[in-house]
Amino acid sequence: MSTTQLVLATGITLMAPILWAALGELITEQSGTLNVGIEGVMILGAFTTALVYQRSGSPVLALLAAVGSGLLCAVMLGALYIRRGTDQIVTGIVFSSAAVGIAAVLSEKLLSADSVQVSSLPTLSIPLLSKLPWVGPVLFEQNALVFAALIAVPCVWYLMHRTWFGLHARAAGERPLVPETAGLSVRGIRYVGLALGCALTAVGGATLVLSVAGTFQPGVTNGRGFIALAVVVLARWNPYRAVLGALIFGLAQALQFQADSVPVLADVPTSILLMVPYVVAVVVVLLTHGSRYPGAAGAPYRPRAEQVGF
Amino acid sequence: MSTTGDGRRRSLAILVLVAACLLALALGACGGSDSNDDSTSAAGTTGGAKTDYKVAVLSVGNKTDGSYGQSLAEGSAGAATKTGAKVDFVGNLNTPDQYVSQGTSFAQAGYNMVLIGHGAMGPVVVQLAKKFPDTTFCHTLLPFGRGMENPPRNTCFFFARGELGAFRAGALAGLISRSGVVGANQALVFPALNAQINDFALGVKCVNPRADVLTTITNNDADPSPTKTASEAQIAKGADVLFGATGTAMAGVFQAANDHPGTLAIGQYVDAAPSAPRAVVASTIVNYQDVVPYLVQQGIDGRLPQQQVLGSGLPIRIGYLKFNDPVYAQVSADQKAAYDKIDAAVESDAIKVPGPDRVGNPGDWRNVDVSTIGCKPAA
Repeated sequence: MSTTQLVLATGITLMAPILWAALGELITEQSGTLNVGIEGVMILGAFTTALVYQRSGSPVLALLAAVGSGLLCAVMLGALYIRRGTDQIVTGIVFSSAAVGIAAVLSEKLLSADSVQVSSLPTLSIPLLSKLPWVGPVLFEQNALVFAALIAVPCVWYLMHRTWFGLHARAAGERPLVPETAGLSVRGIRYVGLALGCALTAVGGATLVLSVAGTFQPGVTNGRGFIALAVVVLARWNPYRAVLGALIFGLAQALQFQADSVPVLADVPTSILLMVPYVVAVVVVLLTHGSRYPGAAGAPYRPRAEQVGF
Repeated sequence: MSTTGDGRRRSLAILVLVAACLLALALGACGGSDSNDDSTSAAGTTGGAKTDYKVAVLSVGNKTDGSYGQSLAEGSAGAATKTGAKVDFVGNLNTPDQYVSQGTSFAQAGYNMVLIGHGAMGPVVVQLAKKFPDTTFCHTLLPFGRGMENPPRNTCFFFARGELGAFRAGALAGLISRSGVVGANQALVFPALNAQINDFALGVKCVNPRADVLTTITNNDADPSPTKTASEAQIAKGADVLFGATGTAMAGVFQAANDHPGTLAIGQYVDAAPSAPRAVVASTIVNYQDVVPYLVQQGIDGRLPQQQVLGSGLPIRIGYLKFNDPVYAQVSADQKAAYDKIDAAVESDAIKVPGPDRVGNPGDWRNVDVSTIGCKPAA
């Protein structure tokens, strides 16, 4: 495999956790909730995966447990964001901080140092396609969670743009009065959106453990949740564009450690290369200046009946 | 429904959240400092005699991080058993204010010694020592930098020469590498860690001058992902033996080795064999497991020097390799014999492994001719 192929293949692997989280956040935000606690959901998903994998040895069970942890986070966050109507930015930041602390404490208590190591998922080769010259090993030899993340992209697009749920969710995110007038529960729709979003985000944490890092450490998410938030803005809430956004960050990370094999980058100091993902983040913010969030995203919604005192 | 009632409930919810967050952060930051689990003493053991000496060990990692923090935690437990002192270990401390806060608490509680295991906390040690003259504050590096010229008398600075282990690891890697390419990953840039990577490279060159040493700085000692990615990049360039001075991110090195059969890894600080039984060939043990009891005993005996370098010629071994026997069994007898010679030469100081004063900057190994430090590659 050439250096370019290696950078691309590694970049795609590193893209997957960010993509899962971005897809989750995309659903959550489009249904009207701005979940800044995404980093916390991700790290709790990663911790749960490591814990269950360590106890059971089954990546499938570990993945299901991660989904469970995501749903649990959704219940907690939903009670605050949606039911209590707390400030979503403050609550999200506080939740993330708490989750990082909780994961650190629990990992020290529950994960033994000798066996935190998790076997990476095996690489799957797609028949025929993996034999294609040059692109075959790059695109079609990845692990199951990377392929699943890519398959999830059209699924999320279909869910949000071709189903009744998607229509209702987007309405709840843009103009919540519309679904309410149609007799729907805005809070209920947002709960479902948050649950789906947190589940996918937790799968991102699981992907980090099972596919990328192969272990759990308290710092394993390393800000990827917040990067996913940036990816959603960059993608303008379009799942297909989210792939591109996540890939940019994945490639930026992959390039850091391969740069000395690329002639034009060989003499660039390591410290400069380590800045690349963050420079990319700044550029993303500049490029997406003017992006419009879903109209009601981040604003707590009180049903009309409550507002008029019934 | 009144607006005031809503506001109160919202405020209450935020208050509860903030309180929960602070509690979690405190637990995370303190690593269970007030937990009896982390406090050990020799009562009821057959180790050292009972003493009133009390020690707190404050560390950047934790007792299960598979790295630096774990080695200090094991040293703390060993100190309690061997010396009879009460020894508290507190992990997961990262910032100066956390060390000041914890150090103050223990000093006010009448602890005799507070040992700080974080390379950047020298100024904190001096600050605390000035404030609490009855407590001795120790630091795992010798004093360096502005304001550290004349530290108070109740400080103790020690440096366990981890680079001795790194040099031995390099020699082993150079001997067993089939491709002649080895990789070394470094988490952060500071003199002691730079010296470890430089001495690893010198160890490789000592036994195989034609070998290639690939070094990478990941700038992250907590997230294993960049370490794994960097290791995989080295494997792609032909490296078949990997070393890491990467703290808790070390798991990334093991994972990369696990995923690429035929690649071996050398762990650091603690015996890494249980983490990757098929990939780890050996672990460099700086040996805080014995250093902490050694220092505590010096404290109890009232003969704790203000500065000391711990290397060869002590009752405890510093910077040695602990082999993973099932993997090491695959190393040929000739290679083992060659390694044993290097090991003995380092121990006897026939090979003078340079320290941070000489190879304290990244890449300094390229400026050292291995024959000038006692290596005889032809042998």
